[in-house]
Amino acid sequence: MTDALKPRGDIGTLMATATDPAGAVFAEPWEARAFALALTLSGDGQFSWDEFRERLIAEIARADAEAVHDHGASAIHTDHPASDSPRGPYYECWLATLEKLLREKALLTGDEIERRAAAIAASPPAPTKSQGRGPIKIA
Amino acid sequence: MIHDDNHDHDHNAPDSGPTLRVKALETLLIEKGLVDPNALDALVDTYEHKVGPRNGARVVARAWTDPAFKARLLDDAAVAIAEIGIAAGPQGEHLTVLENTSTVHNMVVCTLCSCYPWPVLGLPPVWYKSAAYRSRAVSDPRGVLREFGFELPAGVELRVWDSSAELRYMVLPMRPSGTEQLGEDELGAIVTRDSMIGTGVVPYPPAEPAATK
Repeated sequence: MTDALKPRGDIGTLMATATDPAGAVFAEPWEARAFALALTLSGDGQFSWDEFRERLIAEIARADAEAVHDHGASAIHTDHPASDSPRGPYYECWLATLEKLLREKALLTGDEIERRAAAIAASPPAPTKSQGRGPIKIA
Repeated sequence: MIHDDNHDHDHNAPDSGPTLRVKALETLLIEKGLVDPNALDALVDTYEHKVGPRNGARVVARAWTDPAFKARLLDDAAVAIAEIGIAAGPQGEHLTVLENTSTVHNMVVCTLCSCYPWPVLGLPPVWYKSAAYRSRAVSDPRGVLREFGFELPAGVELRVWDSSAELRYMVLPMRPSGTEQLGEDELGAIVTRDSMIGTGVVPYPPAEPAATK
């Protein structure tokens, strides 16, 4: 009876890849931030949830089509091997949707996003070790 | 617990990919006064820790033990869940509860994206959002149930419901036999998230700790 309850097949594999049996809500911190950004901006009326959803649907369809193009029809029956995330491209689609909407609503320009991303990428990571000087005297 | 990346000085590797992109968007929006970082943190906390399938499990347990509540739930889910203190919220609009019976088994999918009744179930699991589930829940629903380890008897009608912007669904699974002596709280503890999506039934005794928070 316990064996009969064991998930298997492609969806079973997807279930098994979640490290937490309950399923971690967000795999990465960036997913959580992207989620919160979309919700809070929509809640404030910067765009409607329908607008977000319509564009998300388009991004997901695009991701599905790419997977089929690159890996054949069976790609939609398994997790997307091409995606950076082993959990599939869902939040990448979410992020692309968010960025598109921000630009469409002229809340941000593509230019300033690129410049900020470049600036963050170029800034050196904060050192974790102290960079103090050595002893002033050795006796 | 999600911390604010902007203040993460332990992070040696440079940001890249989506982390970088999100940080660019977030810092710009905060600087322009378009988002409040405290509001962002609160939202993350809500959906990581506060809103989840435990809510739906309470609804199910109440419906199993209180026939009048069950009738109200099937008639107007939003009003009924408010009775037991579950807040309406994003993605809670137009919620319908689908009752499983000995002749009908309901299963929910969002074929286009990930529409899901957040107030009662929290955020959807990864598999719910996958291309595999979105397509095969429609083309081969009994096969999907088999992958969840559940063989639906041939005589039971399987109804697949496609969620959308306008409609959200939660399944009211059947109460398993052998639970007659359990109280409402104990019943709530055995209800699984997947049984409320319709990709399984409530096992009793529980197969493993109920996957909920």
